[in-house]
Order: sequence, then C-alpha cells, then structure tokens
Amino acid sequence: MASLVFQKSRSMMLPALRASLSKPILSSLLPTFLGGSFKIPSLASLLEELFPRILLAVPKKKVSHSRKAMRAANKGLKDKHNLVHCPGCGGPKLAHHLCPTCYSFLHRMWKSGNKDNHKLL
Amino acid sequence: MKHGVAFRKFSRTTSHRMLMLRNLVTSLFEHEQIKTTLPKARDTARLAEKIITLGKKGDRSAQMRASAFLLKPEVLPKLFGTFASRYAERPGGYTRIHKFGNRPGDNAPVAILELVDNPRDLRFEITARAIGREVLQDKLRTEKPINLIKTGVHSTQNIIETEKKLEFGQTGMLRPKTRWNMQKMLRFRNQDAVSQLSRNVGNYIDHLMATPIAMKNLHDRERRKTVTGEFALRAGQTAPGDTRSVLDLSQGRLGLRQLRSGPVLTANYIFGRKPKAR
Repeated sequence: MASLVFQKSRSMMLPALRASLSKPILSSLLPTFLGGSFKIPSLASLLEELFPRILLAVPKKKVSHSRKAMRAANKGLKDKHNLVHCPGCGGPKLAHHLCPTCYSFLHRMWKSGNKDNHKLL
Repeated sequence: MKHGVAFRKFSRTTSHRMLMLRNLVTSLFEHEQIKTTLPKARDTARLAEKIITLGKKGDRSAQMRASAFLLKPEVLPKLFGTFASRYAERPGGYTRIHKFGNRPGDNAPVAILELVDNPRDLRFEITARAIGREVLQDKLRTEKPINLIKTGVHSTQNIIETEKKLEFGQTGMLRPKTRWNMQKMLRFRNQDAVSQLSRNVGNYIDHLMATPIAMKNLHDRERRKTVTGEFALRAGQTAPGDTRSVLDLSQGRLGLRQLRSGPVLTANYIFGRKPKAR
C-alpha cells in the first residue's frame, strides 16, 4: 500500500490521469468504519506494476547470420592434446590415466578366474 | 577463503562423512582394489595408510583403535597379519591411485584405489604387459613374424634379471621408463615376484603372438575378409611393430595406414596381401 502511494507520486507517465485520479473517489462512498484510509490504486501505478520498464526492451532487428556466427566463434569443440600411447597395448589413451583396453582385459581375466570352471560348456 | 585446508567436506555432515570414509577404508581392506571418485579416493588413501600404520604397530592400543575405526571385524586379522607382513619394509605409501576417466552418469572423475603389492596389483600387470610388448618389438627387428610365432620367446626371466640390475643412464632392451617401473615393482618384494613377473610377461607375449593366428581362423571361418583381402582392425587397435602416431591410430581406416617401416605382428602382415617390393 505504501509502495503504491510512493510510485504514484514519482510517476511521470500520465500526469492528466494522475491529476484526475489522485482524489480517492470510491473510498469516500464507503462508511468510515470499513476503512476511510483505503485508496484504490491509480491507473498509472497499475500499469507500472504490470509492465515494468525492463520488460519493454525488445530487439530492433533479427540478428544476421554473420553476426550470429561471429558470436559462436569461441564455442567450438577443443582438441584433446593429452593423448599418448599405452605402453601395454600400444593403443591411444589419456595421459596419466589407466588404459581402458588393458584394464578391461585384466578385469575380465580376474572375473573369469573367480568363476566356477567345472561347468560343462 | 580455503587456502591450504587439508580436509574435504563432501557436502556431508561430520558424522556422515566419517562413516562414509570408514566404509571406503573397510571396503579397500576387504577387496584390496576399489573404484570410486577421485576426491573420495584421495581422502580414503590418507586414512587407510594411517590404519595400516596401526596394523604395523600391532600392540593392544593399536588393535583397539583399529577395531573402533573399521566396520567389519573380518578385516582385522588381514590388517594385523597380511598387511603388516607385506608392508614391513616399506616406509609409507601403501596405497596407489590410478585415474580412470569420467563416470557417465554425472561426469565425475573416477579413480581406482588399490593397496600396493596386492595379488591384483594393476601397475604390476601393466608393467608386465609393457615389458612383453617391448621384448616382442625387439625380437621383431631381427626375426620374421612367422618364425617368431613358431619358436616363441623363452628368455623372459633372464631379460628381467639383467634389466633389474641396470642403472638409470645405461641402455638395455627396455625403455628407461619401463625399466624404472619394473625396478619399482620389484623393490620391496621377494624372489617370487620376479618369477611371477616373468610368467606374466611370457603369458602376454604368447597372447600377442596368438592373436594373428586366432584372427585368421576367425576370418576363415566366418569369411569376414574385406574385398581387398585385409583382416580389418578396429580403430585404436594395434600390434607390436606399429609405429603410427596416436591420432592416426584413433582414426582407424581413415587415418594413415601402416608405413612400410618394418614388420607388424598382425594377421594382415603375416597372411594378407604383401605390399609390392619397390
């Protein structure tokens, strides 16, 4: 309620409307015990609340293909430079990481070692 | 500011965090090799090494503190027996962390945390594979691939014994890095480890030599040869003797094909169409 009153005094949008609506009309018709201090919000402040100035910003023209492409210049995928040969299998692997081929081979070997080998295949 | 703070919080309360780390340490002692996220692995390694130090002490107060920390009583005899004897000579550094890419669900960096010198020591196995590959590459320079497959490689134990004694600057059959890894693996272990390593090296060399034979049998059975008579390899697959760069290997058939620089132990080289001698 207090903010509405404050905005009403600051708004420069519709001075004519403001002048006409500054007097509380409807509230004077109400009986005093229901709230003589009730002020209906003015049209100017209502518009300020529903359409704040920041929402009125809009692009003037469609961004051209060339400008859009220039903005996307830095968004390309980067190459990986930390690829080395695995000493075990010779294939490519990440530097300072385990070779997935070698680990997969060893892990399967250990898993099969745990299995029951007495099953007839 | 958080400069130089030693402990991670893991977005958990103190009690939750401590219980999680206790669980991880207990699992590590039970399985001797676990896969978890990298930050968790680093904090778990730190705690696990302190508990192993308690295990090495072995007195009554150490036993009480270790049993209060660990969550499974089955792990306690392992700690005061197996690990205490295994790490008796080693001054610290009982765990090892291997980085292993990123997890698919949340792209978290993942690591494999293992106890050093455990029966499934990853670094030991990969060093064995590296030694095997280098020995084969050395042999391929002098012998023909098909003759090498027929005779086999039997001198792995001798090679390891000689390389073990070499110093840093001296040249030998192995690359300096591979030799250093091998010496590190064998440093706090007994003679059984040398025979185990030579057995693993021999097995891997046999595997590498058997692969082209197996490929040829598979292709003959299923007639999977391409029109040009090649035994197709997948992208990233290689064999001993291959000297291409990592990027060429990754591109597979789109990358640079094998240069005429030497013999390669693939089915294509042994059984496929031979390049015309110029």
